[in-house]
Amino acid sequence: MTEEGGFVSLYLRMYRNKILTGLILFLICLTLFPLLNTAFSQYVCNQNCAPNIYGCNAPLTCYNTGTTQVCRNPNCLTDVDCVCPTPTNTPTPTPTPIPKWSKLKDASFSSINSLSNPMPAVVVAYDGDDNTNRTFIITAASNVPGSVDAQSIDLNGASKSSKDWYTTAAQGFSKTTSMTPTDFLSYVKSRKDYSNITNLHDISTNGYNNKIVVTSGNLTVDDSSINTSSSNLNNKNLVIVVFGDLQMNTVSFAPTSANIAFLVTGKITFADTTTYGKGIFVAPTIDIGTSANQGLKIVGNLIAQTTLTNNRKWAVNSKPSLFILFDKSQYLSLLPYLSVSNYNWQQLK
Amino acid sequence: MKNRKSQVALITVMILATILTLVLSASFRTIVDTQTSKLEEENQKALAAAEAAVEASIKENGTTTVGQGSLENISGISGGATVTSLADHTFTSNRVEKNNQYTFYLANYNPDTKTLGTSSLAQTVTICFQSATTNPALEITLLKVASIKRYVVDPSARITNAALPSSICPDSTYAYSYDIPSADISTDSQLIIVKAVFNGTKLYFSRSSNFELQGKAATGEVTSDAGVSKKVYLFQSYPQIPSDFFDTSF
Repeated sequence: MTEEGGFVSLYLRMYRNKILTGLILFLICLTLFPLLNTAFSQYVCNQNCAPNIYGCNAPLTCYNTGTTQVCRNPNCLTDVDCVCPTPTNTPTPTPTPIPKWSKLKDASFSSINSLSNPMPAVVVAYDGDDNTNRTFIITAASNVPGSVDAQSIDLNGASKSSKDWYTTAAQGFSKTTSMTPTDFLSYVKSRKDYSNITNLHDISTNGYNNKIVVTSGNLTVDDSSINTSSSNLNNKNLVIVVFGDLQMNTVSFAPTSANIAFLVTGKITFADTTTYGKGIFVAPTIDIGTSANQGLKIVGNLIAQTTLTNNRKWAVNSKPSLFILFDKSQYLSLLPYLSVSNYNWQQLK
Repeated sequence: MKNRKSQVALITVMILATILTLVLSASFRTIVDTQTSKLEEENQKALAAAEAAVEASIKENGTTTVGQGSLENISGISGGATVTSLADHTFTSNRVEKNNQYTFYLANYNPDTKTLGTSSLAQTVTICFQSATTNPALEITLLKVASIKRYVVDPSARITNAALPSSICPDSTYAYSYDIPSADISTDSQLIIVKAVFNGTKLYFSRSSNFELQGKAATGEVTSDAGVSKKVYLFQSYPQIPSDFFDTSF
């Protein structure tokens, strides 16, 4: 035996009991620490924590399990309530405000522009002629809708129509305007019978009906005076070519037993207060006014050949701010007037 | 000296001959020009008279005679125009340009009263079309008394969900056709409006029975007193609704 070996042996014999006691304590701790770890209680954050099942009160620290944030007692040293920091939630996206939008019935749509008409997720019917379908062109039960043709089409995911016929520039669609109201006026002056008027009263004064009338300047339609009253148009079939601008000021333009088409070389402006227009409205530019809680319904047709300005909306934007109901009967009643002729000329000898 | 006189005489004769040639040539040319001008004038005059006769015939829906009635101011020309019957079970339109449309009559249209009937024959109507370049597509609108039906046909499938046409047409010069079934037409159809998309095309309509008239036509033939004769044909369709005033747009 060496001198060192004798020293260790002597040391072990002297402190054997203490060493055994330390070893036993070490083993006890080794056993209890895992137990303490598994005893950590978990609580949903922002709740006061009750003492855990081993009598260990909070403090609790927060950690994220991957699916939820929970709290646990890491060391059972201090008796405090569990108040976790308010979790930072992912911000809820603010819904993009749906701007003014339009809906058609029984129509066919063809535009030189892009169609940007974001329909809301939930649609409320404009009135009894409309329905709640999230569809750009709806139809009466017996009718079939037309195609939607534009440079591009954005309906915010809504359908075009029950047939879903459409084409865009990407598919080869392009369009130019062949006949403007100005072109039609030239045609009328060279080929059709017409009469000149200066205001609406001239129509009733002269008993004009079933014909084309042409203004020499701007025209205003309202009910403020005999010259502008829409009642001058009652019981008439007329194509009114306005050489200038048309101002529609009536709240409801609905002449009785009448079919009226306005072909305007300048601009058609509907007053903010106008709610209804029965007729065929054609112009390069149409402004249907501004409102915070009022739409516009057109029965007939509306054709803005270049630009439509629509600053109308409803307080609840799930209703269309412009609702156009295509009325074929007006076209048929005005067929001889709202039309041109096609010629085929041949020299045989 | 004698030789010199002879030379002068010869030169004089030559100069005179040249002058005479020039004068005669100019004179001949003037005469020919005058005759050509007169002939051209006669041609124009006869053509204008023939056109006036057919237009008057269409307007009056009857026979017209140059020098009488609405044509009484035309003199030096004889002849007139008569209305041409258009009753047929086929009809070919003029070329319908891209994005324009043709209004085809299934019900009777009275140009005098300017009224459109409300009844039609319940027969299938075939519409043929084609172009030598880009294929046209058609959007067809059937206007009935109480409803509107539409059809979209595109041989090149550019319009989403459009029908494909048949490649059989009663007139084999057309590449594509589409049938509007008799059940859809029924007895209450008034108009078929056909819009050409992507390219223009002539439209060929056919069915088993004669169609309603699609317009008025007249043929005029006149002869001037100088013997110039002209014959012209004019077809004027019934009212056509421009597509720019028909499709909703903004």
